[in-house]
Amino acid sequence: MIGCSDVREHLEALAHGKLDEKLARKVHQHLAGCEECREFFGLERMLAHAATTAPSLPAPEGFADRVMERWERELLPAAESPGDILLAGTYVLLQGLRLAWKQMWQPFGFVFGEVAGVLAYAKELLWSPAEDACRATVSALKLAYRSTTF
Amino acid sequence: MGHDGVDTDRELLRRCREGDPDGFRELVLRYETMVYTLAYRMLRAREEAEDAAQEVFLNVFRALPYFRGECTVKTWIYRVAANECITRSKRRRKRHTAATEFDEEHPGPTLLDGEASGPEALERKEQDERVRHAVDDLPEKYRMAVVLHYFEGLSYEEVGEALEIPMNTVKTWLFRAKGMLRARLKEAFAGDAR
Repeated sequence: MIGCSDVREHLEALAHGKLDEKLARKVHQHLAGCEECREFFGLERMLAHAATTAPSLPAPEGFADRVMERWERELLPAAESPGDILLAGTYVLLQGLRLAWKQMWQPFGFVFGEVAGVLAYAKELLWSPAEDACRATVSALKLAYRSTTF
Repeated sequence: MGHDGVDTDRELLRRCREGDPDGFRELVLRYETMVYTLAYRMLRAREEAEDAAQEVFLNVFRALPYFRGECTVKTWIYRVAANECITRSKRRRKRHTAATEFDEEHPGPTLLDGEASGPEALERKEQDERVRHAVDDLPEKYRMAVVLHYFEGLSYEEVGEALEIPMNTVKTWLFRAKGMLRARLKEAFAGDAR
């Protein structure tokens, strides 16, 4: 003979016909002499029956459309907050400016190169004689200084 | 993608995370009956059940980054739905008594083809209604445990995952709920007998 607490563990399975035969016989023996457990078993059977006759309810027509509308209205704007828009706008603007700057100066690249070459040559032409003259002057001054001191 | 060309639940969640509207719509279509039925069983009012079910799917989308895959997608959606329904039910209970708000547009089940008719069948039907009303009167957490286990067919473990409580607590809640139901139904049947 099994006790009330053990029996109640098995009442749900018994109500669903899922208890093995041997155990079911023991539980039934207990139920025959225990009114309280019989009441619990009655409840299990009522719950099982009420559950099997309670149908699943299909969602109302157009339910998914209404969820999608709310999703677009309430959740998508969150993904495009003012901060995100500002950041994206700044990035696009900077990229545009960089490109425009590059495009603007590209045709002058050759001219700049030529001008730089001419300037370097001019410097060579003008600076070299001046440098020579400076060196000659320094040497003359050094010689004059020595001759006066000795 | 599943073998039959249908996305698995996790694949669907990945698509939703990427913001794919078709993926989200598919998720809604896959679980709308489950969520709506649970919402209706908890709230017993068609309009509020639809509103709650819509909110559940939006909450599912909001919570996508936090889903770690410790349970099945179905159980996770049950969790989101349970939270929403319990909150709404508590709020409503504070405003009114639940019984006055029951929607009569979805009456109890009608006799199906081939189902026994006659006084016995009618009696069973009345008994089912009485059980469902007794379940409706339970405190929210016990009611949710009963609905998930008995009406939605979730195991103790799944109920625990859905309600984020240990399995032993599920058993305790169900035990207490059945104690309350037994007392209420006894009262109701005794009232009939008088």
